[in-house]
Amino acid sequence: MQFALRTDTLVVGYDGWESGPIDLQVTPGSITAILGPSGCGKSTLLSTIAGIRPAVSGRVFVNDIDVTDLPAHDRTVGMVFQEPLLFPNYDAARNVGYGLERQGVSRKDARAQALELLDWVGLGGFGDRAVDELSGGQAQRVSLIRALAPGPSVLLLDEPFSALDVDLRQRLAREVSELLRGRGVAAVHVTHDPTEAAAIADVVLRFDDI
Amino acid sequence: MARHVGPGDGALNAPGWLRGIWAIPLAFLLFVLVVPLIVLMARTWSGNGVRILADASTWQIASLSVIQALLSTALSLLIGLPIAAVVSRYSFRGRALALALVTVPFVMPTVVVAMAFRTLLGSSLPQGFAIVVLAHAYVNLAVVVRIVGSQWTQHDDRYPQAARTLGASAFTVFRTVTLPYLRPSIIASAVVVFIFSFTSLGIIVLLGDSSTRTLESQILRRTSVLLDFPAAAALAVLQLVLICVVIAIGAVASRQRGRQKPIRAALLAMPRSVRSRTLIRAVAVISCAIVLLPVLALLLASIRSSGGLTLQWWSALGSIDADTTRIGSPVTALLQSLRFALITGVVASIIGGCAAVAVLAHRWGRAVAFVAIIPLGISAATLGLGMLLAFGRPPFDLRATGLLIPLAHSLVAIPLVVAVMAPALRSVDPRTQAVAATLGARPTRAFLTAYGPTLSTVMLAAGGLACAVSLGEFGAASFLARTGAPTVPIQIVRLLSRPGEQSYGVAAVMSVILVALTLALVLGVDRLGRRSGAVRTSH
Repeated sequence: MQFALRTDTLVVGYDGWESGPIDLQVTPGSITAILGPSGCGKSTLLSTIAGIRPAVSGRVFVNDIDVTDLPAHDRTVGMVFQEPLLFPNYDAARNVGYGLERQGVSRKDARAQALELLDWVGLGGFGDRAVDELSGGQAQRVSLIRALAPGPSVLLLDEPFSALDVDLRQRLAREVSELLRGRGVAAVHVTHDPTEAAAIADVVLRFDDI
Repeated sequence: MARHVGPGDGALNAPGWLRGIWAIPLAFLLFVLVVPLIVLMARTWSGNGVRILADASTWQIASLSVIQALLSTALSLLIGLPIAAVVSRYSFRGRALALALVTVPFVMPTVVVAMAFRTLLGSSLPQGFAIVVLAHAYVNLAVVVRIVGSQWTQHDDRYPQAARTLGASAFTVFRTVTLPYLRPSIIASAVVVFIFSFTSLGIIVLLGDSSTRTLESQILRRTSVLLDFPAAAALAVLQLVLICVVIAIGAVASRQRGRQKPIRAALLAMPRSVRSRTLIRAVAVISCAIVLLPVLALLLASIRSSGGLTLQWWSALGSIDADTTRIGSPVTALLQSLRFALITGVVASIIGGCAAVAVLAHRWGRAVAFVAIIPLGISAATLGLGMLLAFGRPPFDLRATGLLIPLAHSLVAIPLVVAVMAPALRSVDPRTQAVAATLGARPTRAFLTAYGPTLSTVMLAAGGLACAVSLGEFGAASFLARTGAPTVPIQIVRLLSRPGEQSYGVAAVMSVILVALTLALVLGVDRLGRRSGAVRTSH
């Protein structure tokens, strides 16, 4: 069986602290939520899968290709962080088109696609906005479609709603779930909130069990 | 550190006597800075002043000055940015030492740097454009490393990480994410380096030739050789205008649409890959070597003669040609410099201290503090010439008092004193004052309880820094020093203008002493700063 993402006895950590071995399997198009308390290593796991942090040991496979030794920009793994981290020197559309430009798409075409995507998530007309003019929820939506735009094989969501208020968090969780299913992208969503995990995911795992 | 709301912001009432403190620095600056500048400008419109501004050769020299300063700035950035990337960001053994070493050239008197470069490269690189640009890059390395480095340590690493997950290569991440974040600090450091190189005098006098004629050196020549004061004044005004243009361009260029939020300064762990680690270590070692080589060359020159190693230049300190020349003994110059440094330390720390306290105590304080840092953008020659014209003859003839040089040095040092003291005082929690007041302390006692400990420490530190500035200052002193009473930098230049091995050797000895004194002062300031946790010698 092919997996969009698979880790094989993966040990993650830094500065002498380690967690694992972790064996995680995510099928194409499915959404997996990983539940765990703060500080247990969920974010470190995602950073390691994305290639931001090196693995202590073990392997990471994306679409059954070993990407353990590949740098982050060659992995086709997208990531949405706890904060939107939009590049403030670019407007909202240029942020969304950033990954497309890295794939060789011209700036003009990337912008056109970005505007379509913004429209799709209800942010039509926001393309020219400076990122500091966006609300917290709008910024996180832009961050989400920025990660989706280059068409990653798997999307990692590192508690992207934790900085938002409860109402907005629940609404965005539903929207993200629909968005991911609409595009058929496999995703791993880490959170400490069981309600949020249940609202988004097909499979819910506890960090200690994987 | 979080910025607290100070009494100047209206949160608390300062003691009554403190509210008028802004008048002290303002009166001083009016008398010592504004009056000379007005006299200078008035002289421009008389005699040869306007004619020289219409002269093609003036504009040729102005262009040469700009090109020289631009190249010096570009080289400083080229060398300084990789050093900032390594020394300011990564945690490795010896990092603190490397950072301190990189700062050394900036606190070294420019005359000493010129002497060191002449000693190190004199046989391979003739005097002229190239060696001047190299020396300017060397002196100003610390400006780039400190200004850009301090912003780089606050760069939220998750922005580059987000770009990496979107498919950007390391170079693209630097170009599209890191560089836009650093842009304001790069431009700020470039403007500072440009102004310092544009107004440099000691290095031009000792290392330059006809290809490095600058407005600054021409101001000195017109004043002391041709005695053409109106022309010198006109050149000084032209220089001032060009500096204002550069500052304005810098301000426009550093405008940004949005900014990545900086984080609390943090060092990165060394990367895992052997290649990256080797590269980082290599940059650190090379930067230390770049800084140390000229200093070591100077040290060697002070104990070497054509006959081999010797201590005769050191033993000649008290007696060199004392009876046969008008230069005077080096020891006399040293004592003169120390006297000036002491007066500068006291005057600058009091006036700068009042300006810094005024920021807390009165709503006009910030405006006064802004006026106090203006001399930073005015060349030493302009300050020196202005003071000479204003106070070098009746009705205000201050030459006989021996105060002209310390007053000019104070003007140069006050911006640094304010830059050191104001942030330190603002970092004090003003609620301490409120607590003291609720415990029965009268306003003055409450103010001193809150601010007294920091005030005394930073005032001492800032005074030490002002002393260091005075010890190495050459530009203003070269206009104001009388023939028989030179300061050490002037004595070094005079010695180097004479032929003979002894003059060169004694100049090297004086340079080494000046470096030792300056470093001792700066290290002392740094130590005080670490104790108070607020003072930084970087500026």
